[in-house]
Parts: sequence; structure tokens; C-alpha cells
Amino acid sequence: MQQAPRTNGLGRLIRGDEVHGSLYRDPAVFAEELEKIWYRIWIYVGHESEVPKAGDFVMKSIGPQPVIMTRDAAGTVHLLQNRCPHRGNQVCTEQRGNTRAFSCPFHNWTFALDGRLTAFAFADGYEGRDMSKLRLAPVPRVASHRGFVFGSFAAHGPSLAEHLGPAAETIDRLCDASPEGEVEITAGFLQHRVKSNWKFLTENEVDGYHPAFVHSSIFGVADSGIGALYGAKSTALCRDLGNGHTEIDLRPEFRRIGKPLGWFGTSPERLPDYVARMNRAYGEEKARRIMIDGTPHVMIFPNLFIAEIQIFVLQALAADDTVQHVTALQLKGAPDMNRRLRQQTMGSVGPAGFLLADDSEMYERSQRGVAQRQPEWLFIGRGAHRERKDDNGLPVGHVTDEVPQRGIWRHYRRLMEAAPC
Amino acid sequence: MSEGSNAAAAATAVAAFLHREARLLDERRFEDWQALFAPDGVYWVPAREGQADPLHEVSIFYDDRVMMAARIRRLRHPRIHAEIPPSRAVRSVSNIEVLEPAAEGVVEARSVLLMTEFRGGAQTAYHGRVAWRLVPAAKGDFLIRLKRVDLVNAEGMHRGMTVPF
Repeated sequence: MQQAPRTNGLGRLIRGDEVHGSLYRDPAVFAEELEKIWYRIWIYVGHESEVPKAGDFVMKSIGPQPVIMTRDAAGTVHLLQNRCPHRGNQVCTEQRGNTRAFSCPFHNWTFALDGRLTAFAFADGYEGRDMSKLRLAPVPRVASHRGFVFGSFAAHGPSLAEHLGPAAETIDRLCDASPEGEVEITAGFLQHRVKSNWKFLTENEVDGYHPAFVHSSIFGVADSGIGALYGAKSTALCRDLGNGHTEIDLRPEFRRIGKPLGWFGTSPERLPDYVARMNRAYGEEKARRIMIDGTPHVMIFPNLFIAEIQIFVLQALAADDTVQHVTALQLKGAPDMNRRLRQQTMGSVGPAGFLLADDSEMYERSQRGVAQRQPEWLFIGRGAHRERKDDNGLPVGHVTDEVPQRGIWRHYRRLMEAAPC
Repeated sequence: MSEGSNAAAAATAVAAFLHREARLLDERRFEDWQALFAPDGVYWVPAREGQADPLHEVSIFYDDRVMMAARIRRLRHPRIHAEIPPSRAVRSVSNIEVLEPAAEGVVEARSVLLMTEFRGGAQTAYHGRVAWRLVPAAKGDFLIRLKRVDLVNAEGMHRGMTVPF
């Protein structure tokens, strides 16, 4: 296979509105991405509601690395690496559960939920040794925003707030759709694997150009207004939020139409309990605005896609191997809404979902496509002539334009050209 | 007829029905397949072992007749990319057992399914246990109230699944 021409770093392979195909398929590039992206910047790991009680744990990941998310007795959430400091064995073999401690099955060393070593067998063999430094390694930095927990393998770097920047507000918008201001991740995950590079997924989540073509079979069978949102006449936008975060902003269309819950393909009459709770929580005027605007469609770089009613957590495993961990978003205090959220999720995503089946087919065909020798470059110049800045100075374009893709690659280039930690 | 021969006749009728159900899917006669389901019939593929609740947590498939009909209309759409070229599959049904019914007028059965699918140059095998709740219909036939497929790797990582098991 063609290797990436490497004379002056990877930056050479990204030039304005062109991206070199090797960036999607070269295993050496992937290895470099692990060090410079996945094991360095803030990566979304899990949600606090997945470990609601003291002692709860759930197995998560950062790229190919497994990570245990725990909640200790004090209520603090920890991210731990699954490796005994003694002889390297895995200390946790279950997907989730509740425990007082993790005991390594090899020699029974025991660790608290924050990773501290609390006991080891036949202690006389370690007489005079300071054992206090031996512990389950934490992910060096852990931070959360509105319950969304991120981890960074770099001990130093921008704070999560700096990393998220304006993207934090999209998470806030999501939480506002709950009458209690919180989302919960409680509906279980589907794991959908594609033989494709993770960047094809990250880019596609905010590609407003493809739905009319890739998803025509759904728009053809389901009575859905989604197709028009992504049409040439749509007033919807796409936006580069900075630091690789990007969104499709459908609010201009929803506001133009002006129907509460229209974004969700329903009406207040069909979800009276939700509407009443929203009105009580926010007052009628603000509740109406929230219910017209709908929830965000945002790709938090590199791996958290909030897709209005679902989240996708992208896990990069190899240059041509990516897993999408998918679940329905649940809005705290909105049982009637949540039932529909789950139903719609099952129909649309996961390995058997209507939407994702065709997206995934595209991911895999693109992966096979870039294995061809020519043309070497991919072109992401759509709408460059009409790209502009919004009131906050963020680049925006028509919903079908490639503003997000250019933003993703600009940031990618910065990360890949940065000096080692 | 003796009770034993009644049971044997019931088992034969159930086996014939399950074999036909599998063949309709193999032959991509999805509309005929859907007609085997009762109006309240459900096709369910849980996302984990022992999943008791299809409503509060996600499943791989949980299709009532409405969802099933949409899925089949999509399978007939000329631009269902995930089925271009169409997949080919063979379903093998074995280990059929007819159980004591939990309620009157219902037939409970179990079977084992092995489905081999070929698409786009790749072959995939799916293996699972199927739980059936059938209701007797005219002329010794049945309608499906529940077809539950517990894949041996239910909670594993899956590639796309476009046609029912």
C-alpha cells in the first residue's frame, strides 16, 4: 500500500481544502494519532449517570485502551487503567458492576475505587518496602461538564473548559431539553463496528451534504421531514466551533417552522406530560423556545457525537477499525419523552438501524476507496466561497457545506504538528 | 389419537412452520415473512444475554408490525446502500423443542439458528437460540406473536445487520 510521503511532518498532507488519502489508511499515521490525539487531548469517556452509586464501575475506553470508570464512597468519579502494578494482570474482568474494591486475580492485591493499593497477600514478603506508590494508574486528568466525563492521558494541557470552548454550550443546550436540566445514559449501549478510519466517522457526523443521497431509502419509506432540513433550500447551518468541534445547527429551520417538538417529529399534544414539566421548569416562554430549537447535533472532537436523540462514542482501534458505541439519550424527569427516544434510537442506529446501516456502508466503501492510488487527495472545498463568520466570530456555512470538515482538519493538523509532550 | 401422537403431530407442525419461516427469509420474501406475524407480533433481538426488558434498554432489533413494515419497505428501496449488492443467506433451523404452553391457545417453542450471510465478498456467521410464541391459525398453521433471537454474541461488537435473522 502507498505510504504517506513524509518529508516535513504530517502537515504537508493537509493543504487548505485538500486532504491526503494516506491519512485515513496509513498504520504509521494511526500510531502517531494515538500519541498526539487519543492519548493526549480530552477524550469523552462516559457519563456520571452510568455510575450512579458509590462502588459502581463500568468499563469504558480511550481509543484502544480500556478504562475503568468508578465512583468512590465520597462520590468522586475516577478513571483507572486496568493493569495491576505488580505483574501487569487485568484487575477488572467485568463490564460493569458494584464493588467495594478490585482484587487482582493473580496474587490478590486489592485496590480501592480510586486505585489506591489497600491490601496485598502475605505482607511479610514486602517488609521494609514502601508500597504506597504502587497503585492502579489513573488517567492523569479527569474532568466533567454537566455529567459528561472526559479523560486526558496528558498530565498537563488545556483545561476541559478551554478544550470545549463554545462546544460546552451545545452540551448545555442538550441538558436544557430535560425539565431537570440533566441527561442520563441508562438505556444500554449497542456496539457497531466498521472497517473504516475514525476520521471518516468524525467528519460524516457533521456532513449535511450526504443525507439526501445516503439516506434516501429512509426518507422514502418513513414520513420524515429530515430530508428537507438538509436540502439545498434549507436555512440550517453548519459551524466550526473551534478545537475540532463542529455542529450542524438546525435551529434556523426549526425556528422558521416554529412548531414545538417539530424537531422530534411530534407535537405537544402527543407528549403532554413532558410539555407540562418543561413549562413548570423553565416557564412557558423559555420552554417553548427550547422545544422549538430541539437538541444539538454536535461532534465534540474527536469522539463524542451528540445526535439530537442519541450519543455515539467513537472508539478508534486501528487505521481501518472503529467502533461506534451508541445509546439513546434519556432526559431526566421526562418518562414519556424517554420512551420515544428509545424507540426512535432502536429504529435508526446500532448495527441493525436504518440510518447507520447506510452510513456504515459508506464508511467502509470510502476506506476501500482511499486504498486506490489516484487521485491521492480528497477535496473538502464545498462552500468555501460562501463561508462566513457568525456573530460570535465562528465560521459558518450552508448546512450542506464543508465548513466542519475544514475545521476538523485544521485542528487535526495543529495537533499532529505539535511538539511531543 | 393418543396424547403422545398429539404431541408428535404438534412438533411436526411447528417444525414445518419454522422451516418455512427460515426459507421465506432465505428467499428474501420479506412481505410473506411479515405475514407470518400476528397483528401484535414482535421480532426481537436483545442486545445482551438475559435481557428481560425491550422497552427500557436498547435492543439490536425490536420490531413491531409497523417497524417491520418500514424495514421491509426500505429493503425494497433501490437506494438501500447497505444491501447493494444484496446479501445472500442460508438459515439452518435445528434443536426444535415444543414446550408446555404458558397459556391456553399459545404454542411455546425453542430452536437453534445458524445463519450464514454472504455480502460484498465477506461471509459472516450468526448463531443463536430462538424462542417462539406462536398462536394457532387456520388449517393447522400458526402466527408468530414473538420471535426472540438470542445471539451467542449478543453484547459483542457487530458489523451491520440489514436483514432479519
